Amino acid sequence: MDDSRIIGLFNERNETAITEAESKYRRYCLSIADNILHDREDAAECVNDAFFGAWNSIPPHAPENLAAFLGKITRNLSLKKWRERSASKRGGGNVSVSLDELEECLPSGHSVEEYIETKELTAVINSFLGTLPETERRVFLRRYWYFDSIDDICTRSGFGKSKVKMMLKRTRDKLRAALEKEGIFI
Amino acid sequence: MKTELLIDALGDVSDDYILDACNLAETGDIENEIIGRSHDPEDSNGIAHFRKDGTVEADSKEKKKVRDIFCKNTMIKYISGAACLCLIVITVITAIRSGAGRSASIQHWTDSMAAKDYFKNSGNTDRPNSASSSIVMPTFAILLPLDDSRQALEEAGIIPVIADHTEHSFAVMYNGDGSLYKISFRWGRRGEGIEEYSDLIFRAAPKEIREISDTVAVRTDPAGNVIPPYVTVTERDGITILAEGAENENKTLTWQTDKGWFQVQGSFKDSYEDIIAFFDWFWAHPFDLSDYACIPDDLIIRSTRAEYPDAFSGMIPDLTSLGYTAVSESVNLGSVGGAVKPVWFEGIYTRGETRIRWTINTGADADAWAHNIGRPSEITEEKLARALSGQECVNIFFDLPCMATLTVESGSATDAMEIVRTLQ
Repeated sequence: MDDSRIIGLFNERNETAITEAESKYRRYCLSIADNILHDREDAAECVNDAFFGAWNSIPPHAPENLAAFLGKITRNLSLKKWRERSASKRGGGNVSVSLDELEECLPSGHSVEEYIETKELTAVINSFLGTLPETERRVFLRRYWYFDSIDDICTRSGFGKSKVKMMLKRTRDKLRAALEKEGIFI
Repeated sequence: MKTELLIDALGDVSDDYILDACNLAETGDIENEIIGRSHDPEDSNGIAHFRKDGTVEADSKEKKKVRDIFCKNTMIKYISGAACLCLIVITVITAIRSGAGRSASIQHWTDSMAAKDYFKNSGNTDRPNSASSSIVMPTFAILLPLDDSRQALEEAGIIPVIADHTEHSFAVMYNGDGSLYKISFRWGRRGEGIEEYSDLIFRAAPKEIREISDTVAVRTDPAGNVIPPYVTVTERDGITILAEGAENENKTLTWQTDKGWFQVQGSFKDSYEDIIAFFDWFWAHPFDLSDYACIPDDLIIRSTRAEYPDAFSGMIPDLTSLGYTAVSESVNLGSVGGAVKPVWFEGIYTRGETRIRWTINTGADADAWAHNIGRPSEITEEKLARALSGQECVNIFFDLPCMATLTVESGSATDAMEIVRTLQ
């Protein structure tokens, strides 16, 4: 069933909207949750909550892209659960590694107070992503949006490990420069 | 924790980029991209094929039957209850916020009220988040950081002293025309463990802030009885206070007086007592917005289009070619990320009896989005006429990003469409 029909079912408050959406995107959402949580049960719970969240959100939300909409909800919920589980320590996992890597993107020489709303930062990052070559952007998002491991990215892309790492490092440096240029310090 | 802000901000980037990242395959075979592996042992190989045309083909060994993910009765009743009750809940909230009179659900404040009583209608389960709009745009144009003013503000009694919250971020946000959008004061506490996590935020604005946010959820208990909505309304000294959120969720209290709109927010780890103590301080020390009403002169340049002809290039209709005369064309520039950029434009034009105003803002709140009819390329005469049938203005989005407002002070939808066509 195409997405516009599924969204139509949501708008009609027809329960088959969820089963149709799940049939199409459950595996996609599970892969996102699993990359973050590395726990099958928690991942499944987050995915269930994501579809429930979609049910509560549509309408009035009218997602332009259902896959991305469900993916974002799943990512948000999974990160929330990850934070609740592991705020006291950071031991392993793709999210921890990604956080450590992204430290490099924070402009230095300033205090760590944050005076920017997430939305404004997202706007800057969106612009930044638009400046990247396609492959570089895809690798960057696989790492820091989907939390793929380096090995997964290598498998997906066919690139060697050092090439992927070099690409990510280069992109992080560019992001740092972009944030500095916008005067954003977080 | 700061890198987590980056992670969160990344979460809301363009849908196109997110899905395009699924196409990372050096083979260039764009007909069968793999979008992820499930770790579910029931999957024989855990791979679904996500085609470029948006269709998904399940693995041939994995033709799962459609399953009911809501295996618990509670979940099923969430669905059955939600449809008819969401509308009622939202209507109630809207009426209260507009001051449209009292309802039986309003409680009256007493000084013996416990903190949790402000939230007595709250549930205690995790509420799923919803995704925000895929179009990302700031709500304001110009930022004035006040991080260095913490001590001075404390000494002046404008903000409370919260000694154990060593992190803070204070800012005033202005619209492109120089008017005040909102003030945001955030205090943060971080420690080794999650129990020390705290984020207390105070917001103030000349009018109610409406930003795109989560929808309201409706819950029922296992017996099918409706659990009252988690918005609790308290009247105190003639002022209506809305409390939203619950344990393990962000909590807010919002109130409005003739002095402005105010809100306090606590994080999911801040207790009811914490947020009410925070609220009580601002209740006892009413915040004066007038101190921030005027944008400092060094943050804004008020000029004209003649001085800055390239400002918002491509986003201002060619009205001269249509025979209009410019009555005025004003441009404001602001300091944005260390660079001076156009943040606002307003042009007033006349042609005979017709009078048009074209305004451009680099910030947009929920109200602006509600009146948005799309990008110029997406606008048809029918769409524009329908939008203008009940109001004199519509909003048009540009990918800068910015939002233009076309106001037909006197004129027709045909006049308006003629103007939009110069941008298509």
